[in-house]
Amino acid sequence: MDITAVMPETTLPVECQTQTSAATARMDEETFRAFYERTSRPVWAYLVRITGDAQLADDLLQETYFRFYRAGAVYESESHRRNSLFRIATNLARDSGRKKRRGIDVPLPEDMHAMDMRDERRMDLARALGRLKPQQREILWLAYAQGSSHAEIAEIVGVSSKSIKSLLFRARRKLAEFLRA
Amino acid sequence: MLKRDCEREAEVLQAVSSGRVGDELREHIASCPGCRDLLEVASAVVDDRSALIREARIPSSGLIWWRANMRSRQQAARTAVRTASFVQIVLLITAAAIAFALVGTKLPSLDYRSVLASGMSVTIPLFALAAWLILAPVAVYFAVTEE
Repeated sequence: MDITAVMPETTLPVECQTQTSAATARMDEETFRAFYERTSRPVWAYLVRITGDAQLADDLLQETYFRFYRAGAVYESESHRRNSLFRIATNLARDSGRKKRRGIDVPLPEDMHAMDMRDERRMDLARALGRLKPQQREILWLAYAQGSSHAEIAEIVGVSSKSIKSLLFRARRKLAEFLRA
Repeated sequence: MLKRDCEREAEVLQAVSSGRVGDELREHIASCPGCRDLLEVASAVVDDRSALIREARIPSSGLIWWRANMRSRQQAARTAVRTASFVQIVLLITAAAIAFALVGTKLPSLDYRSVLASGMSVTIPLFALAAWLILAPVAVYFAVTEE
């Protein structure tokens, strides 16, 4: 799937859109590659769970890093850089979700007999996450898998930091209900 | 009604990340629905993340870097071609307008002998104009692609 053909430029964060032509500000190869090594697996895991599609996550991962590279923005710290990356990934996943317009598929493992309790629990989680709204999936993953603060989640998801607490509470309660069901 | 805030949530999250829940905290979790939800959700998410990170088959950083560079250059080239084409069209329209204006001023007193006689004086500026029309977009193209 050629993600570049369907992804609009508007998925870039606002401050990055103004810097797309700033080729000179781009990261050098060593910095970029080191950053990719540190962050690509968590970003991929995030994309898999918020889109529910590992193949789409593969495509979105590459697109995320391309947009990040092209933005050429300068960040105050590693956490700002990381938040910006997750924001790009979030926006790309949302755009792909809008185009796809269908529920999350949870693929069954090839060998059902080989599944242990842990696999079953993971499948239950994937299914339960699939029943949540995209924003709820994003918030829950960022809070508990990434350990992001409320302010960071607000920045990535694009809502006010004041509302994160109640959004997170509701999402958590709903997910717990689905997991017990 | 489920309590929205529990002062022990941070402890629960700490226990999830360390994988150890003390007896006293376990008792609290059993009596606090909010912390029970938190423990259940956070532990499921943390375990799933660890498994996904282990399973991830991601492209190498070198490949991603190379692709990002290639795409970036292709986009810059496409932008340059678009700009050059636009400039070329503007210049052609300008040239046509100038040519029409020149012919228009000559038409009322059109005398073929004088046109032939003044042929040389008209030819040189026209050649200069044509050369400029060809070279200007090329110059713009190189200026933009270097950027």
